[in-house]
Amino acid sequence: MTIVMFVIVLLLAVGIGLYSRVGAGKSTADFLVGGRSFGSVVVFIMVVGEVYSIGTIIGFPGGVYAHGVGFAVWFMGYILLGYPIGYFLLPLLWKAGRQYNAMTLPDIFRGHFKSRPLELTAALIGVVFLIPWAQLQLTGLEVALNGLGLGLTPLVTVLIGVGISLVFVLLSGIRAPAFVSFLKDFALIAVILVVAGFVLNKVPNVATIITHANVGSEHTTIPGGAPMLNTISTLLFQTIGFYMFPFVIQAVLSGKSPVSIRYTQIVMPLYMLMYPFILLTSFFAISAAPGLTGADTNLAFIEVARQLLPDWLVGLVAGGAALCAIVVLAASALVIGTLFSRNVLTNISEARQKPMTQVVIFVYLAISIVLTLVVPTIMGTLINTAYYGLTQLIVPVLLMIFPTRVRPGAMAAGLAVGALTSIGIYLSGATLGGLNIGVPALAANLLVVGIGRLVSPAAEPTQSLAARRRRIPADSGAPAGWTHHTARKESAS
Amino acid sequence: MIPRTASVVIALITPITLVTLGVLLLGGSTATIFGIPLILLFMFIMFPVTSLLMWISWRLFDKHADYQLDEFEDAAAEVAP
Repeated sequence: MTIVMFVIVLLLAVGIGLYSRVGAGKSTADFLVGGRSFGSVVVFIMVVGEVYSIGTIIGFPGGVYAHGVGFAVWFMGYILLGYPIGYFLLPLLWKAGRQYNAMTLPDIFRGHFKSRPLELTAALIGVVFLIPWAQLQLTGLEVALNGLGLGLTPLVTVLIGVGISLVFVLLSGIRAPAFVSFLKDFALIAVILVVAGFVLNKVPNVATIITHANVGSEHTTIPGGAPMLNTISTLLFQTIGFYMFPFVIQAVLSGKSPVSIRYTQIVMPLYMLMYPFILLTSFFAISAAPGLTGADTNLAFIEVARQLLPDWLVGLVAGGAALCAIVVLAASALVIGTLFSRNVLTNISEARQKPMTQVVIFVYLAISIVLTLVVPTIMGTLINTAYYGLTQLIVPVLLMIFPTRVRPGAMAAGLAVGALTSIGIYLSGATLGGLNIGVPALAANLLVVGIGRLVSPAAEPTQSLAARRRRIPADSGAPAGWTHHTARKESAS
Repeated sequence: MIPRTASVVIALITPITLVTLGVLLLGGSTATIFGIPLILLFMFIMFPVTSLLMWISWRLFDKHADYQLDEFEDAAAEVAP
């Protein structure tokens, strides 16, 4: 029964993925950014679908199990504060996307700064630092399928997930993750509420669950010193990098207006009200499944499900969790292919971009499979690792908004130094007294940019994406081709 | 698309300041309300509060902002280094 329910969930997802082809155009823009036609609801579902991955269902309880409330606070905090940043930043990125006919952030850099080195460096950072993100999804998938108790080998489990992701991407481009996200977002909430419901049925008192979580070691406070420094620095650092994720930017560029994107940001934090329920399960796991250490802490959530739920419901939960991984994996794979074919390899005709994208996706998934199987890692660490590099992209983004005389070459050098610094510190194993590794890497990035500005400033400051036009079309008549988006127009459509 | 300062203060600076101060001040507290640690309760309250702050900025300042896709005519001055 377990496996039947699991298969039903995944077949439903594949069905929706195939259905998403209906009415889809065949152009590259359609494949990658849905023809830039998605309204508020679809953008909301896509962003939610891609932000709340299996890292939330499986990784979050594992992190709370291992590190207590300090982990929960940075995890919830950076997502929460990412939305106000998105409220101001995303309309500008959307506008730049239209202005430069962009499908990726490096496309926007190329259009704005006219710099090939900057485009290439940004694209490579996107490609490299999305590998831990795929590893995160595959690790979670392994845990979810493990929960089925079928005794599948890790290789088989990841191949199943990757196979379904490929079906989505190769058939329908961005439309499949967008459509399947509807089912996935529902499944995520359902899985969290069902398991929390069974926990409360077992121990009806929240205070008791939390008290038991403190037996052995303290899980409900953030001690001063290194743990607090880690929580605060990770929270703020990842807040800055939240909207630098290539697939989230791709979702934003697929929106049909900046107004629809702003609406989504206002509503986004309300979706987070699921976190109290998943925290409950996380705290319960500490006393219900004691003794998990290292990468095994990833099992905390699924262990609780297996202990409390009937078999058929475990199948449903595992299917829902697997779906979360598959959707995000599909979106990540798609954006990796896009970055590579558009921004890394040049001189490729539009017609060859699609097949090239598909080849790169195969390679990316293969590398991620190998890393997942060879280097099992705590899922929280994989999240951090992706952010170390991707957050570096905020520097050129800010320099598009605030005019400076920094040369694009200096920005590219800053990006490279920042990314390499984070990799160096990570591999050295230095703990920096709890400070998030990305912080000194970002400082190094800024230092290079600052030195570049002082030593070799550009002749003219760059133009700001936020600057107002001199003439308002309502006053002076808009030239043909200008598009005016207003809240009134959006709400009426 | 240049946001009003008041909008930035309400929707961006306020939630970031509140969350940062809240974590620093309440993170070490062992106090609980209905058995829930104070720091977690604070974070949960910040979810709707952050939404509310953005909505206030939207209603007061950004609803009728100019979302024009525009071309620029003047080179802007560099921000102070």
